[in-house]
Amino acid sequence: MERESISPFQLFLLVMLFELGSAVVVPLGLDAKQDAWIAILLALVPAVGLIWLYSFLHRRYPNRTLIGTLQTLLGKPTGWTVGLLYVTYFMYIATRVLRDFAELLDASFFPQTPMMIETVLMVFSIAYVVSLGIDVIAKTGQIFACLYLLSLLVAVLLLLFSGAVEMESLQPVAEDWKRIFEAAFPVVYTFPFGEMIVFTMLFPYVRPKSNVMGTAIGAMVLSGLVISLVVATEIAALGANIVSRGSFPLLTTIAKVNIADFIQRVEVLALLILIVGLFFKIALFFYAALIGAAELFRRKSHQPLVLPFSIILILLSMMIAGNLPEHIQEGLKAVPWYLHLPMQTGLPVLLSIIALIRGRSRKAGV
Amino acid sequence: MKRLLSVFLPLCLLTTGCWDYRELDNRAVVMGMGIDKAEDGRYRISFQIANPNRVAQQAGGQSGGGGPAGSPVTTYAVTGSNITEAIRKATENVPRQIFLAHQRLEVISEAVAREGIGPLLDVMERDPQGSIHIPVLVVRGGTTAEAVLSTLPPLEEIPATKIYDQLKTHEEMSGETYAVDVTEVLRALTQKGRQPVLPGVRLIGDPAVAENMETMEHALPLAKVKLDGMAMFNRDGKLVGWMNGAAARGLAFINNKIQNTVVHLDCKGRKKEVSVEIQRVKTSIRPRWNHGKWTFHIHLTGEGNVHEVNCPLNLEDPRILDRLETQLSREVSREVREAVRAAQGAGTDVLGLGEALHRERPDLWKRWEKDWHRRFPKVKVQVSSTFVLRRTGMRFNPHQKEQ
Repeated sequence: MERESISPFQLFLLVMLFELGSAVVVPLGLDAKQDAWIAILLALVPAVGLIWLYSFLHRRYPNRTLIGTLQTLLGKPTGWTVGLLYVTYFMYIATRVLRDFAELLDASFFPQTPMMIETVLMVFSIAYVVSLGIDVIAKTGQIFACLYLLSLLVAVLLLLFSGAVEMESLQPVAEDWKRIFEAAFPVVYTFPFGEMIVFTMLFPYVRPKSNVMGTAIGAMVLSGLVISLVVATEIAALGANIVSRGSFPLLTTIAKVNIADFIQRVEVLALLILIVGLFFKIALFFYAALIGAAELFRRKSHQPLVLPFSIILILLSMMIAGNLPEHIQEGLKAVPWYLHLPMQTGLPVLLSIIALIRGRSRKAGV
Repeated sequence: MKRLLSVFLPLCLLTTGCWDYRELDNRAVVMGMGIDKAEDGRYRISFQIANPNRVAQQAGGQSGGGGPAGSPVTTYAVTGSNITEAIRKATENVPRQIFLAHQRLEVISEAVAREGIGPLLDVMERDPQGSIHIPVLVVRGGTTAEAVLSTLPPLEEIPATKIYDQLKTHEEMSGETYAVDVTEVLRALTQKGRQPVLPGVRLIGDPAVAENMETMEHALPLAKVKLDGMAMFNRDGKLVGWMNGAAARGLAFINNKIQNTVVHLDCKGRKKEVSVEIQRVKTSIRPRWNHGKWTFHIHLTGEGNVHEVNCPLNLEDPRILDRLETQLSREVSREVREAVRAAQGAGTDVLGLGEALHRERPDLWKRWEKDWHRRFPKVKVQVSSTFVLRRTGMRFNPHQKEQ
């Protein structure tokens, strides 16, 4: 493990950037129609339990990343193999977010620009930051979090003040609990909340170790509230139908800002939120994959892996889907069930049980 | 590696640019779009394109003199099966790339509206250049949208901007027509509890001279564009009727669109002698179960100020104000009732009663949703309003005295 550290405050900001990342730009939980915001809050509840689980494992093995914990608990060969699965999983999700980024940018602002160009430029800057290590990622996060959260706040405030928001669009509240439940699970629960699994790779770097769990949960709950607020604002401004059919509803919503024909055309805020948020989301998944791979293959540093992994990232993001609808459908129908649930919930639960049994048998043995 | 990076990184910053850039002088900035029916059944779409030289010249106070005088806009009309085809076909005439991001409004002819506005909306929400937030108007009286769009206005430079400003001002000061943008139309069309409305516009005068520069040289314009009523659409997006005058304002009252308006009250048997300015109007629609069936209660509250009195009234007496308040409430309720009658007559729920039912009783709505369009015309509506008069302007009593 490399000798770097991040402070709890930096962890807090990274979690926020990561959680908000792509969740605020795409329509989230809209299967629940006007109650999408409730679905998001509902999904937050078990997600808190999930983070508790992650930090339970972390407290048991405070100096190990997920990859290390796997090998300790499952034994060398099995743990190593599952670790490789996790590295692949992190890479794949990084790829998916990268594809989201390029697709949305192409659809909204740069229709003529080949997706490859946007992808390469993004990966280039991510690779640079990531090669410098978690220290630099965290500091970059500190700087951009201000800009990011401010833009989001300004966007929501402008929308409220421009009178574009009609609270009545959110009624009837809690119309159909079954629908809300189905929207929340598994999709919202796994994306964005379950994706916190990535931080199990970063927890060992947090110093001082005072309250990793509290920080992570606090940041996640706060992001959950912000996402819920943003989605509610979108629905109140455009109506659930338009939001649910949108590829980038935040942009359409922000375009509605018009205060006295004077403050208008603030779409750049949406662009900023898209780029900064997705930058950190990709960077963190990518970094987790890199240090995971470095640990698996017993490298001192992850730096030599940055170039080959970047190339994989770029090529894979071009290949995973033929078009945007295919990409989105995979993300909604297949990924949550077959990837997110086992990797985010299934295996960690299994690990915790093994850790408990081991702890007990060790005690019994004494 | 480090040295290589230190060369390449700055290069990336310096040599890259915007792939999608387009110089301003290669863009034809569309200010407004008009949609008519062509003789062959397709759409005839007119683009009003700003003539930047001419607009800049006017803005500079005409100090430069010289320079070619000419119309501040040029309108190109193209026939196509849909908007996308027309935009691309426009390049047959227009030397520049059509740029829609600055479009102020879209005008559609009544014939197109009667056939259905559905097919026009998709490109407006799908296109990233985003005409989704612009208002749409319907032309009344058999004139073409093209004619309305090309009527050169006094006071303003660009017809589309003029109509846009006119619409916004009318919405603020009267409310008889109000701007409805594409998102609102889509919202209404994608659910069953509310049907869309659009403001109407009418060309007064001779369309043949309307587009002539001469129009602007007359103190009394030869032709002008006037806002007129609200068009009602059914759930298929087809125009089915108009609300005019009092009914149109009643509609604005119901849909919470009134910002400021004036109501005229009778006084001592004479018509419209007292004018009251009203604001802060809030309307609520509540479905209630009584006497074995559902009744929709529309209730309005608001404030008013006395604005003009041409009748000897003792306004120092609070009881007189109370009486005016009652009169005002009754008058507003009457307008609202007219709107309800017009909507039920046309058989389209432009009032959002279904939406109100959905909000209050989602379970009942689930059963009613399917045949709401059949239930709506027969549904019972009760209107009531409570208005409070706050002030009487700079004077209490009028100068006219009781004879």
